[in-house]
Amino acid sequence: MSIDLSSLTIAEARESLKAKKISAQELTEEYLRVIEEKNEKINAYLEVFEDARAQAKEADKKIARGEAGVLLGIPLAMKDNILIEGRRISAASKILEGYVATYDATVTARLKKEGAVFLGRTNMDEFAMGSSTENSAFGVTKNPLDVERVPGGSSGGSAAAVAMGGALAAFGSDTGGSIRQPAALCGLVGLKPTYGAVSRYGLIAMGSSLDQIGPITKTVADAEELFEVIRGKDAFDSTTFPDGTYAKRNVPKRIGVPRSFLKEGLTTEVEAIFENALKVLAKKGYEIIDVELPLAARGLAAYYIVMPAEVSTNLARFDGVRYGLRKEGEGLLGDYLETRGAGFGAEVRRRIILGTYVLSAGYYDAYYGKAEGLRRSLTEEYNNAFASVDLIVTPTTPGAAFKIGEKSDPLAMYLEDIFSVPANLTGLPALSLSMGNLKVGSKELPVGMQFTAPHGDEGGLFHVGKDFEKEGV
Amino acid sequence: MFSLTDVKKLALLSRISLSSKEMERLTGELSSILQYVDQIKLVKEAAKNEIAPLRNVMRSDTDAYPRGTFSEKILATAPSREGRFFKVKKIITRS
Repeated sequence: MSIDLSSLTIAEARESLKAKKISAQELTEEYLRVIEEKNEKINAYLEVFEDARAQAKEADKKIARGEAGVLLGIPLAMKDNILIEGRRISAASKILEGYVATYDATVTARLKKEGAVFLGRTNMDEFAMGSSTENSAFGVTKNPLDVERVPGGSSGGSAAAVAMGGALAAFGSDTGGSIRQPAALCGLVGLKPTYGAVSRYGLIAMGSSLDQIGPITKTVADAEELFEVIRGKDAFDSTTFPDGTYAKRNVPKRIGVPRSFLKEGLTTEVEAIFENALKVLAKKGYEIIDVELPLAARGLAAYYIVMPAEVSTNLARFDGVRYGLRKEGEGLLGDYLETRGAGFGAEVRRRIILGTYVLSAGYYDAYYGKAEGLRRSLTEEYNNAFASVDLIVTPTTPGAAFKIGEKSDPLAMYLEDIFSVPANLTGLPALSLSMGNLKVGSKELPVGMQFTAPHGDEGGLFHVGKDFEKEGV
Repeated sequence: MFSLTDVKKLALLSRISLSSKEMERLTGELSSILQYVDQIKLVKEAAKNEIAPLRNVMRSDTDAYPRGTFSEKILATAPSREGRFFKVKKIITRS
């Protein structure tokens, strides 16, 4: 068997499996071998499932019987906040110590139905709060392209798993950039779908009005395949929408560039790579048009109000009564205080307290009300822009992967999300893919480009993404 | 902007015990985060859209599960239980 895992796509793997050039067991074995070799250093996986081989064996039986399934025998990794029934899940937090998922997330169920093999669960920032995977209770994940650097976050384990060749593709969740940013920092493709395109049922909630599950892959076509499997209306998530909710858009031709927004913290080196990428798009026949999004730069401020507010309410359920960890204190209140004090990490504690503040009496109008207002105005602003352009493009992040420990000030870390949060605030779909490499010392580090489309137009994102990919930038 | 007293009060409201060292650190950190998000108050566009357009996203509760379908599974994950109940400490005492 000779198969190059570093460039293998889902379509190629499926063809090879179907043509019996390789068995699902052999394919899974290849990935397990890479994980065995590299995971100790990278820490992409928190757990490699013992039954991965058994799942692959089952897939082989189905292939032999000629059963259908677009992901039959395809080995994938899951972020540690997407439930798989009967398996441990922790959101990389000590507070969920020993917890076992009692049901399948809708995304999990849809992947199982198509025959996917789950290799394991991947590391993340605790409860998806962070941009570097340094906030995991189980140690930092390292960027496989440079182990002194972070893989991004919060889905850093998923991105690292794919980047190190330890999974064909992986799933993450994106609340403010947590799929797109790690994809960008690891040289991969990441999709944050339209809010409501993918069910959140069985995703451990962080910011319920912002969260979406999406794929991290090597190619745009892979991201599209996985999105097609997981998307669609779900009775268990009332914010999912049926087909036809949003008007179908034409194939994208005009791409908007919000130049004044880009001034927010972009380094000159990244700007040069971005300008070059715009030239590539122009050469491909796209019309590059300047657009104004004056509120976009304010998005981050709104995000750091809305998100902690939702965090503080969502995480109230971790009380030492129903799940995982319980630390004894004085009386029931003491149990709550001790359990949550010991179970949550520093960043989670910080955001819960910030959220409690912005929601407290007397401050609601000043913060949460204003932030929600800005959110709706920002959505209008984007929708207006989409009257004259089909897509909007920006870099995914202000820079390339940073060093572990480099951003110890929380606000400095938050600024990493400046270009990615508008998609979550507005519910718009966004795709990140590599637009080139930045030379840092002796290393070449990838930087990402992010396309944002109107609601429901993931198709436009895939179209331009594939077009750009062909240029091999 | 934040005083140590504020942080203490918020920690209690959040049901999180904090060391005094962390409270001090948070006093500074939260102040600088708040200073950043305060720019929201300057955005006049934010004010006009404060009331959300309402639409119903709830489904009708027609096919509810029979009572107790998942009780055992869910209770099995609890740190402490008694029969079909979560077990917690007594909160009402005789004065």
